[in-house]
Amino acid sequence: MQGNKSCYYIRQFLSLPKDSDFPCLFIMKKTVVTVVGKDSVGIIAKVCTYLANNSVNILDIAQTIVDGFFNMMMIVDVAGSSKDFGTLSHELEQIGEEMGCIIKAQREDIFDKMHRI
Amino acid sequence: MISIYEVLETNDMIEKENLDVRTITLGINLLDCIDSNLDSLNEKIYNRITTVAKDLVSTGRAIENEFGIPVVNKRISVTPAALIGAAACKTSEDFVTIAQTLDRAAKTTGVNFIGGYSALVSKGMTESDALLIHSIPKALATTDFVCSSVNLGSTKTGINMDAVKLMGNIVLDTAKETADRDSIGCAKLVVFCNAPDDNPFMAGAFHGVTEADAVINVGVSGPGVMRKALESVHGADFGTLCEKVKKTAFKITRVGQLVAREASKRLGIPFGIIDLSLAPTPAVGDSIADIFEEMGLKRAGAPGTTAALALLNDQVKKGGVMASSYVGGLSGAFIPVSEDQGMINAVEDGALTIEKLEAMTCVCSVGLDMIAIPGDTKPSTISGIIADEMAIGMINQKTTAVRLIPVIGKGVGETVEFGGLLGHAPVMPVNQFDCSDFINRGGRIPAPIHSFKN
Repeated sequence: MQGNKSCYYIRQFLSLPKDSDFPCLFIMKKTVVTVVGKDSVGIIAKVCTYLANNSVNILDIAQTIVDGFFNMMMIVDVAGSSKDFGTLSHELEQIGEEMGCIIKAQREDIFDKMHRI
Repeated sequence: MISIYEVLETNDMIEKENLDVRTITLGINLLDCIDSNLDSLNEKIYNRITTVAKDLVSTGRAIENEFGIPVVNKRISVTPAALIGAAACKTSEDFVTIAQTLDRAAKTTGVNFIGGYSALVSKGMTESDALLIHSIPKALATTDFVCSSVNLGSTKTGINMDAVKLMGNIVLDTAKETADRDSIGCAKLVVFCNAPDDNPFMAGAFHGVTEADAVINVGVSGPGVMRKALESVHGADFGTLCEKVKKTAFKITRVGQLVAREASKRLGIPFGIIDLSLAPTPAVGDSIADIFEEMGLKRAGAPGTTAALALLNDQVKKGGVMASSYVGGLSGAFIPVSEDQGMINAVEDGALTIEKLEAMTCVCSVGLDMIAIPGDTKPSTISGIIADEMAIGMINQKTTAVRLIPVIGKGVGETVEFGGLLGHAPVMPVNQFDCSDFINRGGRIPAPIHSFKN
């Protein structure tokens, strides 16, 4: 099953094929992308280009320097992407390796649950 | 919206402070596998487990990847085998075949432990219970992933001293059967007082008869996170210290709750409970003893340790209960010696003895866990240690457990290496004064007066 349960019901309601990505376009799946590493030219550009190419919408960006390390957090919506979460996360990780930093993609829920009552 | 500092805090906990979800344990009911024919019983057990748990490991991995939190162990617990095998097993050898079936099913599903090779004999022992208990040494020696537990007493029933006496011998026999591997069989055998039906942690996990057909129970971890958090309140008063423990426990438990709910949704199996235990590992920094040191004790075992453990456990529960709708299992800080580098150091420095560990189990923790003792310890002495621990559980209306490892061929001062999560342990001295006349009395210790609440 592609997407979450809501996608499944929309597919059923509209009699769409099982692998249709159409319903997922309307269901937001917030993901947090973090980039941690040594600052260098073009980090944001490279990550944003990748996200744009994969139809991942950026909702928010924050950036800070901690102990001389570049820390960036993006909140993105991956619902429109044709790639599954595992592939996106793996490819982002590889882009990070090429630039000498660590890129992680995690579903937003883990942060939300931990820091909000 | 989540702030960058909150995101960084969570990721630091995972990457630097060993925050993880220690185990997703899938409880499976085997009662309807019961058959008087041993072969068909084994076949039914194998089929049931491999069907219900077929997606457990892959689901655990998917959750790990999506949330970025390690789910260290995926495990299975089943209905106590003494109940399942009662109709088919006429000898202890018959019971061993069930253990081997469980082992095979564990290997097929890819889990790293399967619990429930168990008997519940807190008041009396059926013939089937006795056969299973006698089969434990062989069962644990011929399997890799099977864990065994025996409930010897409860606040409601008192302590079955016949079973306590028997288990002294069984623990020693189990050690002898696996003497070539530093008696590792005993690391998979635990005895309980007030054993919970929904414990996700090994070796004591089993799927109680009060449970549904299948249920997801989750054990959280986080001693490393706790120690790091306490660094920020160094030297502060107890009110501040307790507040910090509570808040940190809340955060840790929320992650467990999220993972449990997600696993339950994806597997289509109801969520049972979160076990609020702080479970250490041999990894540096992931230690309960380090938390005591951060609180101001030079070593675990120093005067004040029992008080430190009491406040730690109580505050973890207060924070944890707020974070999860259902808590259960053991829910007490674990103080296993071999699985906690700080505890090992404390024993090696002479700060921590079995007697102090026993005192610590009065206020919270689950019991005498993963303690290596000399291989020439008498069975009656082992029974005596078990009886003491069972009494603490019975009188205090709490779960207590004993997992002792008499290391055959080794004595005090030597070290045993179990590897992996089980770690390594220095062999600790036990009190040499004889207790065999006490243990040999046999019979039952009656339930305490405060159990009559009706």
